[in-house]
Amino acid sequence: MDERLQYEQLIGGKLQSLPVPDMQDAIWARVKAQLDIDLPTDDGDGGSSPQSPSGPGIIGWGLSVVIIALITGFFIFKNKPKTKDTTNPATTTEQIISPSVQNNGPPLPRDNTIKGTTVPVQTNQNTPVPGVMRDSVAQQNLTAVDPVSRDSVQNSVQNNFPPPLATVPVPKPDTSLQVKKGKGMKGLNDSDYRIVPKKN
Amino acid sequence: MVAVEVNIQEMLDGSLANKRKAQEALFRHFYGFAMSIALRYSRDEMDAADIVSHAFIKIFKSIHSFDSSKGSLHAWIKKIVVNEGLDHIKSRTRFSENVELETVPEPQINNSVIEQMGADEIMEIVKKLPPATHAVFVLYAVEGYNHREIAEKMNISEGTSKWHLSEARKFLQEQLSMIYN
Repeated sequence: MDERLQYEQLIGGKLQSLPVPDMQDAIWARVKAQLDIDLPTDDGDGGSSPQSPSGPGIIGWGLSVVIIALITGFFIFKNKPKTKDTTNPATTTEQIISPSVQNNGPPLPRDNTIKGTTVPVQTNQNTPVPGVMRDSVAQQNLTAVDPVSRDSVQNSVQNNFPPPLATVPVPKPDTSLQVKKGKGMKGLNDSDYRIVPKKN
Repeated sequence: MVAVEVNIQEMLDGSLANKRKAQEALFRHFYGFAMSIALRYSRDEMDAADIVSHAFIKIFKSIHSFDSSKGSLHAWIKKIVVNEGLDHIKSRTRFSENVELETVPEPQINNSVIEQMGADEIMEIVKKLPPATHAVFVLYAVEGYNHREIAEKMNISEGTSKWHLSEARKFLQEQLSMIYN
C-alpha cells in the first residue's frame, strides 16, 4: 500500500510543474502589511507609509499652513469692525441706545432703557421666570422666598447686565480734539471770543 | 551556483535582522517554489495566495528557528507551506476518523492517458476530490510521504490515510476513464 503506483508517480511529476500565477506583488503587499504589524522595523524600507517623512510631511505642513492662515484671516476679519468703532466714540454711544428707540413709540430716556433689563425679575405677581421653572410647586417655592430671592436675583441680573455705557470703550484722548474742546462751550463761535477794544 | 547560495545567505541574514528588503528578496526568490506547492492543496489561485501569504508570515516570524545543519532552506520552507496547506484544507472540512482500510485493490489506469494530459487538467480532477482525500492523495503521490507520516501530519490513523488514498484512486480511475472513453 505504501508503494507508489506508476501512474501516481506520473501525476506527481506533472503536479510539480503546475504553472504559477503572477501574484507576487499582491501577496508580498499582504505579507509586508502583516509584518509591519507583527514585526515592525525601523530600517526605512518598511513601516506604513504615513510614518515616512516625505509624503505626509508635505501634506501635513501644507494643511497646517492653510488652517493657520484661515484662522488668522477669520480673527482679523472679525476684529476689524470693532477697531473702527473705537476710533469714533460718539457714534458708538448712539448705536447702543438706538435699538431701544427703534420701536414706534416715543423715545425713552437712557436711564429707562437700563432699568428695562430688570423688568422680568421685578414681576412678583406669581409669573414664572421664563425658561427656568414652569410647574406650580416650583413656582410656589419661588414665591415663598420671593423677598429674598428677588433682591438676590435683581443683584445678580444687575451684575450680569452691566450698564451699557460702562461697556463702551473709553477712547484715547486725541490731542487734536482737546485743542478744539479747549475753545469753550457749545453754541459759541470763534467770533464770540474776539476781543474788541473798548472805545472810549 | 555559489553566487546564488551567497545571495540566499544574505537574504537569510537580512531576514533574521528583520530587514524588509532582505525579506522581500527571500520571498521573491522562493515565491514560485512555494506557490507551486500551495496550488496542490487549494481549490483556486486565491486559496493558494492565502496559503503562501500565511506561510511566509510564519517563515519570517520563525526564521530564527531555521537550522541549516538539520536541513536545507528549501526543505524547511516546503514543510511550512505544506503544513499551511493542510491547515487550509482542515479549515474547510473535518477529517473523518471512522474509516479504516488495510488493503485496497489497485486501479486499472492507463499511463499513456496521464502522459497526454497537462498538469492543469490533472489538477482539475484532483480538486474534485473531497478535501481530506485530496490532501492525502497529494501528500502521498506528489510529496512522497508514507501513510505513517501522513497520519502524523493530519492527526489521523494510518488506516484512515489508506482509506482516503483508496477513495482517491477509485475516483481518479472513474474520471480518467470518463474523459478518454
